[in-house]
Amino acid sequence: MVARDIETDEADTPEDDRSINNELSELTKYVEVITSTVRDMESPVTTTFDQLPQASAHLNDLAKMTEEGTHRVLALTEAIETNRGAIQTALEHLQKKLGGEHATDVESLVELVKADERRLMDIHVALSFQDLVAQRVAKLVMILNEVQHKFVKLVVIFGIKQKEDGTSTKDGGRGNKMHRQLEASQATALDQDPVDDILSEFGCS
Amino acid sequence: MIDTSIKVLVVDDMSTMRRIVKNVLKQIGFSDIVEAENGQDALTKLKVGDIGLIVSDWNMPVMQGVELLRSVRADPELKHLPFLMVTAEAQKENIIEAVQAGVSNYVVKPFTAEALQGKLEKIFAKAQPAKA
Repeated sequence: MVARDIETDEADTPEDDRSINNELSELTKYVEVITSTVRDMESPVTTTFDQLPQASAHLNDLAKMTEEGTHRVLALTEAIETNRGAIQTALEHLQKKLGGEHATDVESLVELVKADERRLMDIHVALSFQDLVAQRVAKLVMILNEVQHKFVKLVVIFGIKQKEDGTSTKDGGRGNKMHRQLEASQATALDQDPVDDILSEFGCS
Repeated sequence: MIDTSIKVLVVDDMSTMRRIVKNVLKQIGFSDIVEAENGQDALTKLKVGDIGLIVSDWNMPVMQGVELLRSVRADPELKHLPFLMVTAEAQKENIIEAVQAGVSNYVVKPFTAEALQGKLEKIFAKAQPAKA
């Protein structure tokens, strides 16, 4: 009797309604799975969220350490250059006072000392690596800040998708821009010769 | 021939970079060098006057180098100043943007002392026929 009644009920239910019920049932299962997954993600996401500011701080510390170390090396090379200049001047005076073979010997010493001027300047400009490190670190920190912001949105505002171009945040697009610049600087940055070629096209070099 | 008697303004947010550029300029023969840590600071110092050459980075807080360049070229009292961009920004579009903004020349970081001196020689070589 009951089964016949059920059969009768199902037979009375329009096909569209059964289809909608099935869809809603599937949707409910899907939402349950998503909710459960988000709950499972909560702990690692929260941990990562807490670690991101630390990572940014470490990177900033790294840039600061390289800056301080570079200043120390620059100070030492400047002191060496000052001494080198004084030695060169003293040797040139001595060379003028001496004659003959002794003057020739002193001249060779002057040449040795002069050669160090170029080496010291090469050390100076080589230290410009620190500036490049600091710039890369700044871009990494900006990317990390944007990732952190997106983590917040993911966890707190579940279900609202982040826009593709990141413009839903105040400066969300800037992190993507920095990331693209970082990628581009590794892949397509030009050396001085191609730069000179481009400049010459504009009549600048 | 580089006129080393003129006053130079070195603009970079990194203190180490300002120090390096300053030392290279001293080795070339410049002795009167002032520093600024961003474009806005640079404009303040330019308004004081007497500066004959600007050597600037691109990426700086407050005001970037290319914005400083545009401001300099838009100012009737400053637009004649030689402007050398020294920067890690080496994409083609950066160079084109700098040229269109009126840069005198462009050095890519990391650079050598010879490269910087070579660019300065070209800047002054172009300027001297105009003076004559």
